[in-house]
Amino acid sequence: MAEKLRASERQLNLLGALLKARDGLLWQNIANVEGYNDKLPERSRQKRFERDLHDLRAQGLVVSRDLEDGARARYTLDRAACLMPALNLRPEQRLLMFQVGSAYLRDGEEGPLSSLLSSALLKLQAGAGREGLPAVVPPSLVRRSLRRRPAEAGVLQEIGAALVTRRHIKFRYEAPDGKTSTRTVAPWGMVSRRGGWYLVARDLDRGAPRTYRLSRIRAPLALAWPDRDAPEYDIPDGFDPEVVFSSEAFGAGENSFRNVQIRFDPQVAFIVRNEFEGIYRLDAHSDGGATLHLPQAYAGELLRYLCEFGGHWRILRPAELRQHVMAHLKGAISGKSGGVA
Amino acid sequence: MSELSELSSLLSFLAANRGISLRDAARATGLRVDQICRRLEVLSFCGVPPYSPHDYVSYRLVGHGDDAVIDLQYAQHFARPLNFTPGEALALKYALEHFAGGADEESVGLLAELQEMLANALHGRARELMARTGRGFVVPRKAKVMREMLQTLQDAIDRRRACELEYFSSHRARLSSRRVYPFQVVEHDAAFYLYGWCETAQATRHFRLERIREVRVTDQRYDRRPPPSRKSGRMAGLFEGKPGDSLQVRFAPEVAREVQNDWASAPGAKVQAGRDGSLLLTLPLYNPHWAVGFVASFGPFARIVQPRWLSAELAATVRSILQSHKQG
Repeated sequence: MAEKLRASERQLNLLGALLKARDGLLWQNIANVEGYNDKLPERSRQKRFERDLHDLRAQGLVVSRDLEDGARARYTLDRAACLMPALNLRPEQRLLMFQVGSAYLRDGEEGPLSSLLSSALLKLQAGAGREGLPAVVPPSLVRRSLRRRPAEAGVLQEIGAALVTRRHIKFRYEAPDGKTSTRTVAPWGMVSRRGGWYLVARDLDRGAPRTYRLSRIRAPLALAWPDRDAPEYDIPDGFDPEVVFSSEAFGAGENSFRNVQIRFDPQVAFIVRNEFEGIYRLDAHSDGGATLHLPQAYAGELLRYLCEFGGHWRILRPAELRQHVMAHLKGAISGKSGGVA
Repeated sequence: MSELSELSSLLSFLAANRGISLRDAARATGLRVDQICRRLEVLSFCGVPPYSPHDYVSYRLVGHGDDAVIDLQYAQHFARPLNFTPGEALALKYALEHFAGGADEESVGLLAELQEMLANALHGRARELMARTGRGFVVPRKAKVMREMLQTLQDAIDRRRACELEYFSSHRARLSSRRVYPFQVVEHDAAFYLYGWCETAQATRHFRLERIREVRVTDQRYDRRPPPSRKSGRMAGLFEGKPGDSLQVRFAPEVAREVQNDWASAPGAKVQAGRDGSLLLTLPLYNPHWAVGFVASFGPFARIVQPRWLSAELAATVRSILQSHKQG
């Protein structure tokens, strides 16, 4: 029956044996561990052990192999490098850690971080011992999510998982002109702003970082080299995706409008304040209204936000943006809308 | 994630929390009770030589149902958790950063402390990644006033206190006061919503936090529980109820591709490509004010096909915007 053990059970047996044996294990010892003690030839069982050892090392476990008498290999788990030290968390830290876990893991919504985060938090709580959990496990108060648009959910899941495990991916990408091409990239980060997620990645064919809008990524999206099982690349230390792609609320770039000012009337000014106070300059007016100052904005992204407020806003400057928006809106009710029959 | 890592993490957690109930273990781990039970079964087949009875991990459940207590035995080898895998280190780092984006100042400080403590406690590659990796999931900063409101609401939920909200309803396009029993704050599509029971509407509602002008936490304690039918965590509530109508918009070829990208997978959406490159989008219409803003933002490149009465609303809104600019 032993050879039919699932790999994870067999590896757990091996891990348990290595953890128990402080002086390490010889093959003769390992051959008694369930999963390696079946009737298949010894060489087959040794190969099985070597594959499992490779998997343990891929998990970050440090297992040394030393030759005794020039012949017998002894396998020793480096406990100092493999076990978490006890973490003495203060009660408020424990509670916060628990809140982080429940914010992302509860209620079954899968996200790109879920399974790895769950495992990490379990280890942390275990590392903090019996005091690792709050005295009373509270219900979930806040649900956090990385999801931005329904259309992106599947792609976000796969790219996020590749980013966390440092795996190359390939996908078909549709450029704004409608042409599609296959890209093979190393994900370096994700940037979200109004309108969804953007992937910042090193394009292997172009040898440089590029930005990809998730909603333009077409199936199939897959690992570039699915047979590999280890991290494939490093990201430069401290790399910030925002250097490549701005998370400015309404975009930033060559064709954006600069030094934008919008006045909001008192009925809706507080909504703008809730969203942007302390982030962008906001001048309060005596009537309760406010003027929002934006360093840059694309007209389309800005208009989508402003139209949520009906007629409660007015673009003060720049004049070109004001004219652009007015012409755009007049077109909406002109009866001969551009290209729409 | 590998099953080995999953199982060994759970084993360490249960070894460190002997006597924890199934319900609390599920809350703490993000797993369902039945998933925990299945994994306990798997773990009970694991042991070390010489495989005497005390060399196998064993467990028993004391009590009934989800309140049953897990009594785990003979798992002492796993009592100390393993070092993080590189993936676990990154997932936690990215989650802490993302969480901090919506947290108050005190929590942000605690999160930074935790991250530093972890970087010092971990070993090898996990330590390097925790200490040196830049941001992974960059989201726009939340204003301080929003982060404080989030904390106020969390405290109210925790203490089960009713709140009075001054709220700008986008459905009615006006401010109103409501008494709400708050259940949870939910992040959805880059915005935070308060999910609770609204006394005024006599139904559950989602209130977008940016549109709350003022929150007053009252002394009234409430016992009302969230209805079991809601699939919590999904924002079903935003799309619940009866749509007033069906919104149909034709988009010009210039914007058809963008609309296809952004809306084809939205709940209840249908898209139909025209021979001339245009696109017909059909959506359930829950909120006419949102629909007017949505269509207006496309300017000359979108036209409402139905309902016809919404075209009149659109025209009135656009005229009011044009008028406000004339006055300026």
